[in-house]
Amino acid sequence: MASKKVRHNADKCMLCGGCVAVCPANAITLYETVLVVDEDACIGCGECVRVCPMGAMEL
Amino acid sequence: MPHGCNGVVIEMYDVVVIGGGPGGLAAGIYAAMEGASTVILDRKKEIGRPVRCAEGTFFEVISDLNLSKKWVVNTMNEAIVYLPKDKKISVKTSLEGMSIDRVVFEKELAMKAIKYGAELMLNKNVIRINGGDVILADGSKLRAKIVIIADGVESKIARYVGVRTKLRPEDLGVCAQYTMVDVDVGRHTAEFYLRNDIVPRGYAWVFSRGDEANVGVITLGSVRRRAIEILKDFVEKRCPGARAVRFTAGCVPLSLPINRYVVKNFMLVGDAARFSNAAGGGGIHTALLSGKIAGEIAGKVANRNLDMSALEEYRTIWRKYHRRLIRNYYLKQKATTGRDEDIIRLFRKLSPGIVLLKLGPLSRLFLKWWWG
Repeated sequence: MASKKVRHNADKCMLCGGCVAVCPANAITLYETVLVVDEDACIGCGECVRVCPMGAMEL
Repeated sequence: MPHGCNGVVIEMYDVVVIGGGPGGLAAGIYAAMEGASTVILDRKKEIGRPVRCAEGTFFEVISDLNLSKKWVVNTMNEAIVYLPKDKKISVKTSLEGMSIDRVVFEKELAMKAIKYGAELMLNKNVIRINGGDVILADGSKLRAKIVIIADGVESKIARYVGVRTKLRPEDLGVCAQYTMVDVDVGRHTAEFYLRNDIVPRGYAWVFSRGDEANVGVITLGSVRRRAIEILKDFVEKRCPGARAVRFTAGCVPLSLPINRYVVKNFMLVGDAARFSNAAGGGGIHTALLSGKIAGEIAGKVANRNLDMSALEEYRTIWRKYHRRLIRNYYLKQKATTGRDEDIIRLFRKLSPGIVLLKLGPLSRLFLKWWWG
């Protein structure tokens, strides 16, 4: 089991929504000015880390 | 009108549109035009912001709305395409491309929707959908006969109703862009760099906006290098003296379009339905067009109390555009192998090096690639 959860760096994030589009676990939600990762739902697959244009996601 | 039910106030509408981008706004305009009570929800506090777009497009679809065009920043009638091995083609076309201001553009669409009687609710996050009930994060509830899903590239709402919209990283276009001053580019010129040494599995662009220019890159989500780094290197080569006045990042679906875009009383439009041109990455025109078609049909069906099966008309009309999107997905697959030969092969079919054509076969190929 992958137990690592993704960490989101709000300073780098541009709120583009790419991570939401590729997340297989529906764990990411985009609000007005923040992006929230549901840690319970995150499966640590790293898809969001791969696509982020800013390098704002880390595993 | 509000209805009391178990203590929760429920607002009733014919059509609820989720998402206030070009697709959702077009849907709202046309649904309201048909006389349906319509509300457009957006999670943002301001329509149009933040801009996540290259702001280059062209319009035929929305011309019947009599928009002001105050959002047209510049027109582009020349495209210069830089290919591998220092090949270059120049396309002059009578079909004009535009640089637009997305914020001004979307606000005008929103005003149009309001003028036709649609309601606009900002700062509304949808957390759940239950049949025709749309449940918001603030605890309120809207009841709709028809829900139009237009939440853009994230496309989370469709998942609540069982449509699989998750994208593979290789089917997501990842973009980074600077709006810059002091870029040396023709006033009515759009430049495209289809070279893997500049952007792996993607391309770079320079769109003139008159006094400024949008300088950006798009690559696939599966590419290891960050879009922001690819962009910095491109700027260093193309316009080292230019200065940035704005930075934007955005993503666009480059996948096959969703096949289940009508499900019961739900209709998907625009990026949420993956209705974008996978080859070029443009999605404004397809969002407007699908929004218009879906909105018109939803408005009619709701207003006349027709059976929900009448929503299938959307499929009948959209079918031909759907086929074009599928074709362009396979064009993207051929163009993003990462091998320069494949890019050259795609363009060589019709091009003997540097040519200048007026809507000849080459510019048709180019337009097909770029516009879809």
